[in-house]
Order: sequence, then C-alpha cells, then structure tokens
Amino acid sequence: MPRRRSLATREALTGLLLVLPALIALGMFIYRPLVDTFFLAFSDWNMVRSERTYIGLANFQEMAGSATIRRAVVNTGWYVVWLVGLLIVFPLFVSAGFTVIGRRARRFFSGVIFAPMVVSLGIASILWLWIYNPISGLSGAIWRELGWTPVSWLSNPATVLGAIALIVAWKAFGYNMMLFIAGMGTIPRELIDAARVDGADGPRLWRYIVLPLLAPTVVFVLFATLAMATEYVFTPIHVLTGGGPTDASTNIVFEIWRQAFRWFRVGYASAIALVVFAVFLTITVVQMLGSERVVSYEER
Amino acid sequence: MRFVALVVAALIATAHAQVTIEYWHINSATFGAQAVTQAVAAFEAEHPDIRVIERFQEGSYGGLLTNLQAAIAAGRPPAVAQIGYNFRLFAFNELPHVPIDTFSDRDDYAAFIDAFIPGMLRLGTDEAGVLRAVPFAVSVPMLYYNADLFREAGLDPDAPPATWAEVREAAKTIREATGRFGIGIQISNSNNWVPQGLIESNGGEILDAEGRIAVDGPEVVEVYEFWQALALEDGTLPVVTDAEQEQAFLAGQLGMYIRTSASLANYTAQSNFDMRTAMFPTWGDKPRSIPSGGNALFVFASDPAEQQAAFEFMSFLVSREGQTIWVRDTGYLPVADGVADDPAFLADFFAENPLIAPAVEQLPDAVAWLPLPGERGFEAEQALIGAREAILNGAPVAETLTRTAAQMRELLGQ
Amino acid sequence: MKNARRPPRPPVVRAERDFADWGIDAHWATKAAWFALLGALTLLALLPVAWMLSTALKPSAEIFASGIRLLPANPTLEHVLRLWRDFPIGHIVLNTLIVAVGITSAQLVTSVLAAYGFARFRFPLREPLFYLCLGTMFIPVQIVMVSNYLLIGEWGLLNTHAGVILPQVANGFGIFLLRQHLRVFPQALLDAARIDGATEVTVLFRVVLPMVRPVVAALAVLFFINSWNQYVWPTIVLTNPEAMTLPIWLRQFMSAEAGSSWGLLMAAASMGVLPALLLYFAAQRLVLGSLAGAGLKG
Repeated sequence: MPRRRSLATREALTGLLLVLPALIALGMFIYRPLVDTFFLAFSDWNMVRSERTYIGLANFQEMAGSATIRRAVVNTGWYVVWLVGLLIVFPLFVSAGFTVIGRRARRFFSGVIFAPMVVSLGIASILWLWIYNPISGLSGAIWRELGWTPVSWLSNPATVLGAIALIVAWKAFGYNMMLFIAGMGTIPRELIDAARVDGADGPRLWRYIVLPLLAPTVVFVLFATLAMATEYVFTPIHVLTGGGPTDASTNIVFEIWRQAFRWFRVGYASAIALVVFAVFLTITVVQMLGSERVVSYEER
Repeated sequence: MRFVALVVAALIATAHAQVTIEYWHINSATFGAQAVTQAVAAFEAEHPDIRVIERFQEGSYGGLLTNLQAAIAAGRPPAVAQIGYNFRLFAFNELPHVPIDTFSDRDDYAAFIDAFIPGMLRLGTDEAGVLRAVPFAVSVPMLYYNADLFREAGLDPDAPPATWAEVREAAKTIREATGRFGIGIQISNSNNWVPQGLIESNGGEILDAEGRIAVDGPEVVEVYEFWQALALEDGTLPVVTDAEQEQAFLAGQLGMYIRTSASLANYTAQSNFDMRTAMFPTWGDKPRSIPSGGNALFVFASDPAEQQAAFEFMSFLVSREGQTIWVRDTGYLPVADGVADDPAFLADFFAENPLIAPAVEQLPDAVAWLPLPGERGFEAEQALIGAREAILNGAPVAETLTRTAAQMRELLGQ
Repeated sequence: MKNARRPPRPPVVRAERDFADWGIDAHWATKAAWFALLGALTLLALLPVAWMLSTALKPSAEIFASGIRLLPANPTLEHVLRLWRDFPIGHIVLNTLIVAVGITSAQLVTSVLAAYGFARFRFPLREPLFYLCLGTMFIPVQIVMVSNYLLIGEWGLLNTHAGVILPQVANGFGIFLLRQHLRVFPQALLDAARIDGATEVTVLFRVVLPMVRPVVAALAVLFFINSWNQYVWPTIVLTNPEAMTLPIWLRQFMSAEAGSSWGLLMAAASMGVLPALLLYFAAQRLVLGSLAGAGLKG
C-alpha cells in the first residue's frame, strides 16, 4: 500500500514537473495580464493616467448597448461562416482531388498550394490590394475585359468582409488542405477497398467512410478556424480597411485593439476582452468534451 | 603616458557630463529619415555635451502614440516626440508632458518664439493660451493633377481648376474623353483631415463657436452632397480606399487627386507622367480654409538636464539651419519665418521645386487641425468617417448627417 | 544496449507511404477536371507572390506605368541593391531569424514536456490546468501586451530579442496538438521501456519523441512561420531600428503621409518571403511528409 502511494506520488510529481515550464510561462505572460484585464474591466483608465477609477459594471453595460460591438460580434460570426466555407469545406472538397492524381502531381500541387502559408498577413494584405483595386488592379482589368463594372471590393459594405476573409483563406488554405490529406492518409486502405466492394463509391464512399473517419481532423481544423476568424483577420482589417466602410469589416479583436490603442479606453477594451475570453473558453471546453467522445475508442 | 592620457580623458568626460536624450519620430527611410540623421549630426556637432538617440516609430502618428503610451506607463518616455496634430488635444490633456512655457526663463526663449512664422505657434497652444508644444512639421492638402490626361481630354494643363465647380466639370470632361476617373479626394479611416478643409472652406463647421457639433449644418450637407454627386451621379470619383486612389493616380488612371503636400517628393519619384500641382480648390469665392497636417514636438523628459537638452534640440530643429535640412528632405513647409526666401537657406530649394509653390502660397489659409475634445472625441471622429463612407455608398446625405450629429453630440456629452 | 528496444515504426509514417490514392483509376474526364481545378488554385496561390517579386524587379517608373503586366519590361535590381547598399537589410533579416528560431525552439521544448505530462501522467488538477493552457489559444495578444510590456520594461529587456521571445516561450496550441497525439500512444511501449529501467526523460526522448517526430516537425514549421511573420508584439518591444525584425522594419516604406515606396516595399517584402519560401521548398518533402504524419487522430 505505501509503495503504491509513493508510486502515485512520484507520477504526480513527474507530471507536474513536466507541465511546470509551460504553466509558469503561460501564467506569467497570459494569465497574469488577464488578471490585470479583469480588474481593468471594472474601471476607467487610459494607461497613462496614474489613477484607475472604479466604475463597477458601467463598461459591461455600455458594451451591451453598443451598436458597434453588436456589429463586431455579428461580423465575427460572418467571418467564421466565410472561413468555414473557404478553409474547411473547400479544402475538404479539393483534397478529394488528391485521391485521383498520381504521386508526382500530388507532390507538386500540395507544394505550391501550401506556399502562401509562408507569407505574412501584412504583406499578403498589400499584395491583395493590387488584385482588389478596381481601377488599376487585376480584378478591375478582368472585370472590364468581361464588360462588367469593376467592383470596389474594399469600399462596398456588401463585399468587404468576404474580401478580407479571402486574404486569410489564401494564406491558410494549403495548410488546412494538407491536414485533410494527411487525415485521409491514415484511413486504412482495406476499409476503403471493402466499402467499394460493397458498392459504396464516389459520394457515398465519402459520406459513409471518409468523412466520419476524418471527423477528428475536421473538429480540430474547425477549432483553428475559429481562432483565425478572430485573430488572423485583424491584420488585413488593420492594414486595409480600418474596420470600415461603416463598420462592415470590423471584428471583435479589432474593436478591442481600437478601443485600447487608438481611443485609449483601456478599461472598456478590457471588459470586451474579458467577455470574449469567457465565451471562447466555454466553446473550447464544450468542443473538447464533444471531440473527446468522438475519439474515445482510441483511449487507453 | 598612455595611462595618463586615459585618466585625463576620463576626467574631461566626467566634467562634461553628457546628457543623452531620446527622440521619437515617424520619419521612415523614404520619408525624412535622412533629414533626422543629418539634423542630429549637425546638432551634436554644435552641442558635444548632448547625445541624441533618434528612433523611428512605425505605424504613423497612431503607432507612435501607442508605443509612447506604453513607454509612459512603464516610466521611460523619450525626451522629445512628434505628436500628430490630430492627437494634440489628447496629448495636452492626458500625456504628462513639459509645456514649452516652462522654458520661458531661459535667455534664448524670446528669440526662439520670435523665429516662428506669425500665427504658427497656435498649432501648439491650448485653449487657455499656454504654449505646450513646438509646431514642427506642417503640410497642407493641395490639388495634384495629371497634365497628360488634361491634354488628352482637351483641357488646358496650364489652367487647373480653381473652384470645386470647375473641378467637377474638368472631372466630367476627363471621364468622357479618356474613360479615366476624374478626381480623388484623400481619405483616412482614422481622421477627417481633408473633409475638415472641405467643410470649413464652404463656411461650415465641425464644431461651432460654442464647441457644439455642427455637422448637420447646411454648408456641411452641401459638401457631402457634392462629394456624393461626384461619386454616384457623375461617376468621376472612384469609391475606393485611399491606398487604391494613390495607386490609381500614380498609374495615370486618375486625373486629379486632393492630397497632402507631404507626398510630393514620393509622387514625383514614382509617377511617370507630367504631374503638376495647384492650390486646394475653393467653393466659389468663399475663402479657403485648410487644416495643417503634420506634427508638433512634445517634451516628455522628467530629468531637468534632459529637459534643457530637449529644448536645445528642438530649438535647433526649428532654427533656419534645422528647417533647411528638414524641408529639403521631406517637402514639409517651413515653420521658421523668412527661411523660405532666404538664398542662404531654402530659396534655391523652392526655386528648383515649383510644384511645392501652391502649398506655400496657400499657407496663410492654413488653420489648426481640429481634434474633437473629450474622452470619446476619437469615437465621434469615427462617426463622421462612418457618415462619409455611408454617403459615398448611397445613403441620403441630410438624414445621415443629422443622425451622425446626434451620435457625435452624445459621445461628447452635449 | 542503446538500440535494444527500438519500438516499431509508428503507423502514422506508414500511412504517408501508401497515401490515400483510392481514386487513381478514375475516368480521364474526372481526372482532367481535377487537374483544371488544382491548376487554377496553383495560379491563385502563386500570383500574388509572383506580383511581389516582379514589382520588386521593376524600375520605379515602370511599377505603375506597366498597368497589370506581370513581367517587368526592363528588370532591374535597383531596389534590391538599394536595400543592401543603403539599408541594413542583412542585419534585419538576421534579427528576424534570431527571434523566430528562439521562439520556435522554446515553444517546442515546453510543448513537448507539457503535452507529455498532461497526456501520460496523473496529477491533481490535471484537467483544469490543461484547459487553462488550452484557453490561452483564444487570448489575442492585444489583450496581454500592455501588461507584458510593463513587465519586460521592469526587467530591462525592451529593445532586446529576449524581450520579444520571453513572453512566448509556451504555446497552448502546441501543447494541445501534441497531447492529442501522445494520448493515443500505446501504453505498452512506455511500460516496456520503464520495466527496462529507463528514466522518464529517457522514455520521453528515446521512445515517445521518435514516434511523434512528424508532428513535432509540423509544429516547428508552423511556429517558425508564425514567429518569422510576427508583428503586433515586436512592434512595441523593438523601437530601436537596430533590433527590429523585418515585418516591423519594412513598414517604413509605407507612409500615410508620403505614400508608399512600392518598389522598395516589395523588395523588402521579398526579403521576408523568399528565405522562408526557399527554406520551405528545400524542406518541402520533410514538411509535407510531417504534415501528412500529423494526421490528427484525436
């Protein structure tokens, strides 16, 4: 009995020791500032004033009544929709194409389609400006060639959000596609062959065999996409539109940044940040519990 | 022997206690960095006891202010920093700085003040009349135009439009004759610099004499209706972001472009058509009123020796010698009196660069760039930007401005 | 002794070898359609990059004059040479490399250790602590950067590369991803190694790491790309041009007032993209192989 106990203690100690470096770093540089944020959320402060005024729930009340915040939340939702389409559905579809081409073509296409991943979003935004420009850019030339009126992608409230999402999608598409292709590579070949013998081919093969087995990958990529819809889109918004026109391209992280670093309302920005964090933590835990169930058959 | 020399050198060094000050600026490699380096070298040669560390801050005035905010919070601000005029009020009220008035007991203070172009100092003065910052960089919006396109459209490139009515006609002619866009107006998604010029030149106001929001006034509505008509009725003004307008103008796809005089050098280098400039158009015969862009120098040093060194450094930057270096490299307009036509300083520069002449000529019409007051002033500013964006996308002008005015008043607590 | 208990190659690597090519016998028309789509995607992926390189090689006067023509009529090294002659571009690239390598290696080490701990050891509060690590994925840097700036300043690390790296030595995403893989790791292999008397460290490095090597490599690529391109946090830490990394430094070719110097900007941007791109193409087999190995099973 004491022997067992000491074994368990040793296991616990080793485990704790292993996670300690990460915990210290994350605690120091993420949770310590987050605690700061928590207190700031109930105060009025501009970072340079020496006193922070405690104002209770006023920041949260303002947030609840703010049309801009509402818009930013709705937009964030639309970014998720766009990016789920461009970074999950579409790459999944394209990865199907990789099952019909040969080894060499596979290597070539996966190589070049992945390449934009190495370009920073700041640079990507500037490059896409040359494409989007309706007057002197590529899209303008193509539209004119086709006899259409060029579209002001970045100045039209109806198109700007999709245009921003497309830049992020351009960068991350190859990465997600590779993850799907990789996931498909882990599906046992015998399973596929057996299914085909049973007459499941084409769409049915995907519907009943491939997609269910890819589920964990999809869940994971969904996760990463959620993070992109908030954090990645910040850069193109910042570089190209400043959230406009008429708040049509803003998202929640851009609002936090703008309130804190352009309008100097650190307390208010902290309150928004706190709510965002709480929402995401909830989603994460729920999603984790869900995906845990999906893959539990592999648990030890 | 060598040892003795070293000791002596060390003694001299301690006797001449060096002061080191940090200078934050937005002058990038292609926009004034050379002027900064040159000015610092010239200054240090004159003042061997002061060392200046200059540091470029990216992200323009907003970016600089973000970094400054963090540095102040951490207790280590630079001794001197450029603050964009649009952040002037915020800096006056919120940033712990040393007002320039503080130096008034220096012997050279009166000479320092007298060296400025009359009226220029109001750019650094608060409502109570205290001089808080040193006006340093001044630029004004003017009209750039593509003379090749003018000729192609049958317009006289030597007689650029002087009023907005003429601009509208010329833009239409260009559109019809060449298929290119006629006119672009510099816009920003964080301020209303050119719009302020448009509004005030038309006799309107963003803030009235009592400090109340007046963007629903008839003259303001007129400006935005005109702007909307250019875009939607005439189709001569492209509704695009400012970076896209810039690309279009440089690509020869835009006949005229209202833009800051500070872009002149860069545009001259990158355009390959006959680019010319003219004064900011007026509304009929109403007087022109244009906001001066650029920045003022603020002192943030807390150490008295550093403060004095900072004053010395700023004095040099606005001196005739300092201004000559600065204006030549950046295309900003001088703030020091008499330097522009003095052959020892900038006279030859202005003679060689006739394109800057319209900017200099309209300098007397320059007024302070008006930041909106109060903690929510920036948001109120954003509301007006939003109104412009909505109007250029077809929103009814009067209604939009009425709603925006109400929103701005609420933000300013009016 | 050393290789006495080399475990069998893990299934993930085998999976990469016989890749999912079950559609290889499809009709030629189907194949042609797929090739067309992939060709179009290739074009879309490369076009903006090609545009950047071509602009960097155009003389200033040609950048706007040539309209949308992709190839420079009179290619010139003018901008590139100017970058090397008038600017410390080599130094800046080196700074970027130091920061990127520093962040990447630190994050890999902490992620491997923590993931192993969370996946294979029982200790009090294990689940809540793990969720706290996970939660950090959703905290935008904008929220924590002020507070971290003040701390880094107190430690005297402003304008140092250590100051940029230190707040990012751990990464919630890395911990999460690796833990997913380590959880499904066959317990028997670990037990076997332990019975042999191997210490935990030995088990980690001899048994566990070799088997998740592909995942670690994939993470390394991701960490490197992200830190190489990092912008928001380094901007406030590195105000001294000598310490600046490329993404911040090249912003000086963009100015809201003076307008942008497109040729220099694109040349500088190429300096950021090209090394990463060459590195990637050189290591493409490894990277894509690794990613393939990262087939996420849980």
